[in-house]
Amino acid sequence: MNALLQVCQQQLLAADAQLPGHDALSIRRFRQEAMQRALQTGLPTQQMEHWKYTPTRWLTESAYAFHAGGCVGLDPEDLKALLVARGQVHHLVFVNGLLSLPLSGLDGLPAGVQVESMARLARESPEALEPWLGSDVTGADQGLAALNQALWPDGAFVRLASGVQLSQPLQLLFLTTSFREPIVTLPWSVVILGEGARAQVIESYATLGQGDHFTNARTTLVLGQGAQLDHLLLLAESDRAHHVGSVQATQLGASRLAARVFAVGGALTRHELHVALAGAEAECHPDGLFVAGGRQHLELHSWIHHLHSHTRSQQWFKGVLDGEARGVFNGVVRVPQGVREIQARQQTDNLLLSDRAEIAAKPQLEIHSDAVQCHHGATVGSLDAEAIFYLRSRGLDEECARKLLVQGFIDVLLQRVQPAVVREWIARRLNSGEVAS
Amino acid sequence: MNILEIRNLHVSVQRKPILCGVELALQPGEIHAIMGPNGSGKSTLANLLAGREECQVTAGEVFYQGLDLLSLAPEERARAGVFLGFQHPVEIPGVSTARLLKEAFNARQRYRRLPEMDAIAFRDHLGAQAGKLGLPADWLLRPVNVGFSGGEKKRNELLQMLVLEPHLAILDEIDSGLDIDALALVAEGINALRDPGRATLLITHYPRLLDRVAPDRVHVLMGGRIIVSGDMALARELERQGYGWLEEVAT
Amino acid sequence: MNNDRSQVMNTLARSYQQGFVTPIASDTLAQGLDEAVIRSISAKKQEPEFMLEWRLAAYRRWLGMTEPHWSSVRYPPIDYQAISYYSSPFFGNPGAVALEDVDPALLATYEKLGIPLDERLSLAGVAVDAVFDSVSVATTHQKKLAELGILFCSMSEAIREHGGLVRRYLGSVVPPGDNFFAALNAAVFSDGTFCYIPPGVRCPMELSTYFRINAARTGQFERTLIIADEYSQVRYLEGCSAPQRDRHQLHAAVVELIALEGAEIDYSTVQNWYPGDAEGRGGIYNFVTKRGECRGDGSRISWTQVETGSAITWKYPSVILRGNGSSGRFHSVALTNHHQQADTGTKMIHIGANTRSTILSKGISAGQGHNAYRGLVKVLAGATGARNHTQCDSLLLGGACSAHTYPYIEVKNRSARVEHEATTSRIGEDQLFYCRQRGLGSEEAVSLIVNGFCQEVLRELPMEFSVEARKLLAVSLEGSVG
Repeated sequence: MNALLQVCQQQLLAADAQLPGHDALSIRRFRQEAMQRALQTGLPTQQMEHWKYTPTRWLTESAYAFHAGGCVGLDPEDLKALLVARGQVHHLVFVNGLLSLPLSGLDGLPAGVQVESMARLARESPEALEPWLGSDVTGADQGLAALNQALWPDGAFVRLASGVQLSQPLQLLFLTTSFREPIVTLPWSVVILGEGARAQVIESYATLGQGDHFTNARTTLVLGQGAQLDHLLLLAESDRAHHVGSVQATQLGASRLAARVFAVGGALTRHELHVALAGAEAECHPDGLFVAGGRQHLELHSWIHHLHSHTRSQQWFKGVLDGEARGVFNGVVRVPQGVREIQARQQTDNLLLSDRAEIAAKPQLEIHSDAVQCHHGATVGSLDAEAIFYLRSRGLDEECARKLLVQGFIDVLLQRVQPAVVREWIARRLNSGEVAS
Repeated sequence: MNILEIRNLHVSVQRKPILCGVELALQPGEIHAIMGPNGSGKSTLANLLAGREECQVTAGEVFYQGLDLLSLAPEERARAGVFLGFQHPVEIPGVSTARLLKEAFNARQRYRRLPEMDAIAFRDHLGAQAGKLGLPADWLLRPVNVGFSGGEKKRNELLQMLVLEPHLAILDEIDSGLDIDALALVAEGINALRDPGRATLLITHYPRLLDRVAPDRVHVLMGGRIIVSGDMALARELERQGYGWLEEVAT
Repeated sequence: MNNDRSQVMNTLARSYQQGFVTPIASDTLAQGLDEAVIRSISAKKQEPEFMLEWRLAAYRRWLGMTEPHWSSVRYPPIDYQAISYYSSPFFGNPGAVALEDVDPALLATYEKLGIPLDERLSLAGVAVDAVFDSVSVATTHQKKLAELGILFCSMSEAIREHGGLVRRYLGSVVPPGDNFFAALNAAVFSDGTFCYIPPGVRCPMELSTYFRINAARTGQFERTLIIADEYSQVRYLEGCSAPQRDRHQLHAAVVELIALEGAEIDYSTVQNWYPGDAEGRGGIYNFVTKRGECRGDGSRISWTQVETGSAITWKYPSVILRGNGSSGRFHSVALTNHHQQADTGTKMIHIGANTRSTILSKGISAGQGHNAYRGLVKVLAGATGARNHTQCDSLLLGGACSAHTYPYIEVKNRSARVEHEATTSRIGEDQLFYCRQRGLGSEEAVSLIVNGFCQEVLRELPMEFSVEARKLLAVSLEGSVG
């Protein structure tokens, strides 16, 4: 058996009693069943269609260990750059997979907003978690997701009562401190918006130090009738880290989800978005950007399931690749039989900046209904020579011209981020990467 | 010293000769117009002066304020004060005109060892110039030329010229696609830069712009050469008779 | 509009028109496949030793391969031992039969299909190779073509007469071990068309092959090889049909095109194999490997296909763009009605610098039809300045059909420019209403709109084919549009 699977299975046996929710039969059984699924499915391989472009050797070759969790002696100053401006967001900070209350700040949460540790919730009121245990949207080749389901030790639980509006953004920071021995963390977070509730949730992943570690993350989003969620994900872990994560969203009628992902970090980062549009007039707007340089391998996947008539999706994914980086975009729009009046648009645009960078794009439509309007587009290219000349003729040198054009390419997605304080923070985080952007 | 001096210039594009021995000299304070039928090489001349790589010089020299212009990169030419108003300005998504101009303006300041202008001072400078052209405030924040009409693109070129204050402005059909009011604005802009330190080379099909800027010299470019030069009377003659009567001279 | 829909759905007037059987005695091998069968096919065709060895090597590879199931088509397992791999209307050596000696019933079959084999009656400007079950029955205009040095004959004849060319090029684009069906074909192929255009020659007439499956429980495994030598040009057309039978029949062909420097090949197909009946009984399984290689600089290969037949279509006519400045094109219309399934598309492999490819795919799904576009555009690191433009549109008619789009784009060169666009839609109610208001019946309106949808592809076809294709589309749409 694969080393990682073995370590995970041992962890479930050895630490079973410490895993949150052990005392609740439903959670304990769910963990065991998930482990069984993981063992049956096995870890992903490139023979699986949806892992065709993903290197998987590191999964079998690296030895990741579990860490006892937490980390003492972290100074809030260390986190300054990793958090959107203090005082303008509520924030929870998880260190090596576990919530750190001293580093978190939830002052002034309005009534009707519950924000707490998943571990605590599973221990103290497991019945509150039960409905969300099996709410993932997919799928077949999800061995890693099953491992997360079996072993998650903590994460954020966010619930907004009906009609409640969260005026300040809520940031969930998942920080891993690098150790000599690479560790694996498996956070699971749940965000539930009651009818008509509104919130902005920023989920960000970062590393302190430059080491390797493996984040296997999972986030469940549930949008009630008419709810509006702006979910923003920043993947900016160390350039030696590995990250495989998924966001699973279920949307009821007339809800609106903006799911934005900005991926800049990691030796390998693979993010999957699964959205089930399960009520009339539900709409989702996934945006994604990866900016990769060096030998990074960054992937964005999206699966949009139009399960209900009169639903809409509009996606725009962009990639910028420099150095020897590889980028992958895989997007699927599914419309099952009997579903009508669907509008789905998907666009992916990719820039190759160097001779050794590579891109694979696979925009797919699976349509089983004639009452649809679906469209997808994909482009791959380099910077426009005409535009470079234009800028040079205005006095900009070539490097500056290229930089400006790359920023222009990215800017369209960046400008959709509101409020300005969050947008500026994302822009700073994008620029702190090594890629010329 | 001439601002621009072109000597026996031969240029090919994709191995096809386009310019075959152009001679031209512009002195400070002058405005010259180059006219000529389609395909005569007018735009090639403009592009060559700005440094477009497709234009291969097979013979001849070009001096700008005594500098060997052909040895300079496009951005060096721009910083030294050469401005090309493009016939077909490119669209640049995501990059605002304000951003572009601030970068361009400060690149020139650095080149001339002058202090850079900070964001606020530059915004005011830009706002003032835009106001002169009657451009709305949000114009500057829109991506360069994206979704602009032909006339709007030309006005954007003019705005950039006014902000960058070139010593030599080469305006390639700046008047095409403009209505009469816009044409007046363009003429006003060109006249605003008319001073003893600068020169302007206008490339145009129509005398209607020339009526408003009163060029010092009018040249006709045909078959890759300047075949006749004169004053406004020549432009009027061309308007009346077209280029046919010149064909003999050209060959 | 529901009224429209039911009106149209109720119209099942004409049916498959090429579904008749020719009653003719045939020399048919018993069902089953082993080395003896392959030796027997090779012996019947009096092939040289190298061909037999080639077949046997392919067969041994095939034994170690498994049937591919990555496509979106679904069908019950195929019993490869329940197929007869050779069936000929001739007894003895088919190569020695003169047209005068051919059974008149056979000639009548082709006349009925609109393809007279008598040169005096045939279409001017089109040379035909007629393949009936496993063998070529006649090839027209050979003499006239030979005057220009053009070789146009059955594959069997080419193996006997032009062994050098065959040995050099056969399997050089689609190697015997390329995929499961290509390996099977390499082992058992019985005939097909061979064509060689010498340097600088522009083929004065259109070359074509008409494939006909007649015998029951046989498979047709033909192989076509077209070589366009430097700066030559050829247009090639392919048509096919089969009788209506309620059991599925397998058709696993291989087509290889080779374009040397500056050469141009246009290959058009109107595929009208028996599609099965409205309940999905019978019909041809059309599992075909078609690939061209632009081997020389500045060469061009163009595939145009109209796929209206077959129960299942699995084919990806591809172009390997090896020569610098070479270009590839794939224009396709695929229509699936009733229970038909199609998984079709192309691969454009950009290897040389400044290579260009264009893909235009139009999929129409009706009834319970399933239509998938699957395409790969791959730009390798050396393909500086490569360009691709892909447009793939799907039209859905009715609530029970499906349309899938699976484009794979892989780019390893930054100077490449790849653009892909896809849409899925139905016929607009306003379009239908507009046509009806002008006096067209629902079905005519649908047919008109579908034709318009495919216009860009259909106009690429030679005239006679284009007319034929339009008729086929209309017939294939009957009884299931809405």
